[in-house]
Amino acid sequence: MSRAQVTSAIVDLPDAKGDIYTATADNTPARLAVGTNGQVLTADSTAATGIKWATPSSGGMTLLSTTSLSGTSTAIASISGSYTKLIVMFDQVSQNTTGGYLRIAPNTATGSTFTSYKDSNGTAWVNPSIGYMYPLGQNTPNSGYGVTCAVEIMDYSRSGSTQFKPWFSYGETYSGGVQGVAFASGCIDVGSSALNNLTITYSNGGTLAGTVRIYGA
Amino acid sequence: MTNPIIRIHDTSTDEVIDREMTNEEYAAFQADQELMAAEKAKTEQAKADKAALLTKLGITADEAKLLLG
Repeated sequence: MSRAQVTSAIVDLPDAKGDIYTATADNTPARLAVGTNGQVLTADSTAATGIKWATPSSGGMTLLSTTSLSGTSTAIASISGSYTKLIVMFDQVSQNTTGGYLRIAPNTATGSTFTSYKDSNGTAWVNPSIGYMYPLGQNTPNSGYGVTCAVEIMDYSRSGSTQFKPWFSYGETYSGGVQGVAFASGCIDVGSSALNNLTITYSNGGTLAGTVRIYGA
Repeated sequence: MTNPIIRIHDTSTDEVIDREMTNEEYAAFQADQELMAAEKAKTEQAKADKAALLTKLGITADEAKLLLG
């Protein structure tokens, strides 16, 4: 590019406040208009100029779905794989009978898992079971009693070799007829697949009620 | 007799379907219930065995903890 061409580009290219000079190829200057407030300049090899204005990740949570539970089991399917962590929020979840444990099956309930549970009422429980996460351990709320807890599942969208996803939960419990707070954790085997489906049931086959919201982070 | 109802929420389309379990799903569901019942019975039996042993030894559960501690 000659000095005259460079001078011409510098003088002629900008059209508006915030425009910046860039290039689409060798000797090919280009104008990039400013982004919107709060955006930052980001490298992007798919953009014509190799850069773009983009909204930075806030590090917060994005609501992916809201599901009203119903029936003996509710499957939440086709969960977006665009995040690293899932936060599954159980809001006033209950069943119409007693004697069962709230549980979550990832994809299909066939892999091995392990739940370790403890609550503020002194109940501890370990369950090397098949296929399920038990966010409230072995506790059995009264029929119709809604419980609220959050379950975080890490690295859920990764696939490949055998995938063990660590998870933990925290929230309200109802052990021995007494309200309290609980903490459970474990690791769930989802085979070689990414986790994209969660099925909610009670272990005694009770009819579900309440709401589940899933967030990606 | 009808099979239990299941709900499927496809989050990509937000479509919600309520339908009866298929016979295969119901068979798997029943097998799972039997497995859970067996696990529960095993836990109850272990509790009963422990209580019987304590009675035989003539000590309480707290006293047994002291012995083992």
